[in-house]
Amino acid sequence: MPSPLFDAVARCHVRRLRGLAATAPLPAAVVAVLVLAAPIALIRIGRIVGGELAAAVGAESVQEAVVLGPVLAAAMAGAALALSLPGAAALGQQIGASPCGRHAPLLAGLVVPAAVGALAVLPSLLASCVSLASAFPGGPVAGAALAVATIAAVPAGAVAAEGWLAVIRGMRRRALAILGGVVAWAAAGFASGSVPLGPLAPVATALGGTTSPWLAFAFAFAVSLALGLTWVATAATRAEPRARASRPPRRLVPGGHVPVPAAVAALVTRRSDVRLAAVGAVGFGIAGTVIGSLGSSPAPGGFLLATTTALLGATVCSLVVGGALADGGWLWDAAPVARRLTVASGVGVGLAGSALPVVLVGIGATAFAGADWPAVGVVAALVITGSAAALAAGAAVPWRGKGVGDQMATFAAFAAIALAGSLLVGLIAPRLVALGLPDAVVAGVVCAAFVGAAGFTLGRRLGVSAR
Amino acid sequence: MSAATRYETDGRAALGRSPAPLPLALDVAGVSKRFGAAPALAGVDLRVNAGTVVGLVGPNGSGKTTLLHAAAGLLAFDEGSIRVGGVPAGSRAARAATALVPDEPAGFDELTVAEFVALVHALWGAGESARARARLLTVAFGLDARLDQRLGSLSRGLRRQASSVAALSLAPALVLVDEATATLDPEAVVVLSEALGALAGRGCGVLLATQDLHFAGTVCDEIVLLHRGVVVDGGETWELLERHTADTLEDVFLATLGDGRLRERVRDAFAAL
Repeated sequence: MPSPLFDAVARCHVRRLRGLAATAPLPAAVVAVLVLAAPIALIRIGRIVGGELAAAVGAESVQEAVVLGPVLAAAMAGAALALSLPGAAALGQQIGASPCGRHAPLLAGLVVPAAVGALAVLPSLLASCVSLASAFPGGPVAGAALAVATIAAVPAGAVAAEGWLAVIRGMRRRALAILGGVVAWAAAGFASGSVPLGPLAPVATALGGTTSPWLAFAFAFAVSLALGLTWVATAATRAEPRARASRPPRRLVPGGHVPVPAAVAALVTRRSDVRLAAVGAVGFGIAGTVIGSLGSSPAPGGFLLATTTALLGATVCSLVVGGALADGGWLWDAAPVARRLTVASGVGVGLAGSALPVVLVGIGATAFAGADWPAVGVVAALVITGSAAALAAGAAVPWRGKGVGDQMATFAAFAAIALAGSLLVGLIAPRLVALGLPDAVVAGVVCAAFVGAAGFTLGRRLGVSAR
Repeated sequence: MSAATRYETDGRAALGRSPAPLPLALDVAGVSKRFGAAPALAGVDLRVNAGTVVGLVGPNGSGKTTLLHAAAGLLAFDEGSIRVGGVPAGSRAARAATALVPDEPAGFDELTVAEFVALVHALWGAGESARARARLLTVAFGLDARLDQRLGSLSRGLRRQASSVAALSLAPALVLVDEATATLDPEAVVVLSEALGALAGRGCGVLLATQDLHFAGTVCDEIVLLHRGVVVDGGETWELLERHTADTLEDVFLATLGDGRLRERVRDAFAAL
């Protein structure tokens, strides 16, 4: 029998999604169709990429790189998820004071939206991994192991984030235990051929056919299960944030009026979840730089690994904008200010806030791992489109601080929108290039379309059409 | 029989039926809590006996909500001890013996009033008697017509009423009510005061924080004055009035916690407006 809390949270999410679909039926239908169609398209893309990599996959560095890319990105996503997980506080004070234990609120807030997110992402992940590996000696089972390894990386990143939270919240024993886990991870990787992949290293060798794919699958499954349980146990017993000596925040302007963009920037960037995610993004980006520098992949492999990893954490800034502006709706509604200015400020703050950690990581990665202008252009386009997708997701499913699992629901919406957007770009952009348009122009058009869609969604959330 | 009449004939009796002897509902001893450098509570001692209503009165930021949240197990404190019915606050047993009506009921916007009350009952393992009390309280607050409305669609006052129905119907050993009358209409305030009195009559201990001194004077058996995290005075209403040779609790409040000449001073200052 499901717990009443689980049932209540599920009911809230279903009603929320139903309300969203009723409010914007056409965009919801388009996203649903694209998410459903994505696995089919990804099977085709996976086969093409797999065919191109098949000749090189015998090399251990290529095997490692094929696993490391999605694993590191998933770890970053897991860390961002853990850092933004509100815990029992999101139940509200009344339910938060209930005698339901420490695990029930966490699980209730995690499982339902995670299941929604998994519905959007898992079929595509499985389709792309299996079709990619079909062309490799390891075959489809090794592809399934790659998908499970990517899933395992989510709680791995989350546990790493819990370790960091333990450090800053003074839980020394826990921090040391997690550090011990990291050392054990590296030792397991050292023994099996890839330090950064740890116990997931057999997945890499399974792609090349030197390890049984079934064994790799079993390893990845066991690791994901163990890490998932570890995360739930650590997240449910987190220490409260340490109260810091109150330091007055920096004044927005020396005196007089506070301009709307400055107010929006303060609203978003003074949030602890945004700050934690930005620091986490830089941390994971540095890890990506180190791994890229130590590996044998040529430039700009390290740069791309570092910046795309950082981007996933950095998008939290864009994800929160919709909720932050919607929470202050009473002010924007009452103030004699054009709401378009508020929307433009939100979009600008989201894009800039998401770009900043990536830029910092990119500078470091360029210095240590090397980069070229086309790679910088690719990352810039990814930052703009990724942030815009996050802005749209945060506006469609606002990141609220008062509902259990709300952040997870926003993440799920981001996954769905990003997947649908990628598929749409994959369908349209090559045709524009075939018409003779330069790559840079097509990238610019795609970025402008994403930013426009984000602005439109945010505007709808704030009721721009009403003014 | 109208809903209101039904409440009048059955309600008080049901809420106040069969008072059972209970241990000390809440025992706060030497509790301190700091937020960074700022002390929120500094060595607070407070007791709520079973069957009594204690009012926590103090200026904004005096630590009332912090104390209630610590008693409810929502907040860890730095020093001292808090026991609910003899067990440490925050433990499962203490939580099961406590119900909180928060200042700002939040979360679960998509649940209806009836579903929210049912959720609270399920989490606290409440039985048929709690459901009966909830029906009475719902009618008394006039929420019976809104049982199928979602919490997110209610005004803050109505949402607080729904929260009150859920919490008070549990009739646990300790009831904590934050900003008791905030956003409530006069009728709801009457219902709340009667409900708290009835709960105390059946042996519940009630600790309420309020800025409404008239409400505190009417409902509370004892009043505790909190200022900057310190208990500066306390006792029964008549004791406080006598000790401060005051006519009203407002005079006691201003003399003890504020500026006795506030009204005149501000009036003079505002003359410039």
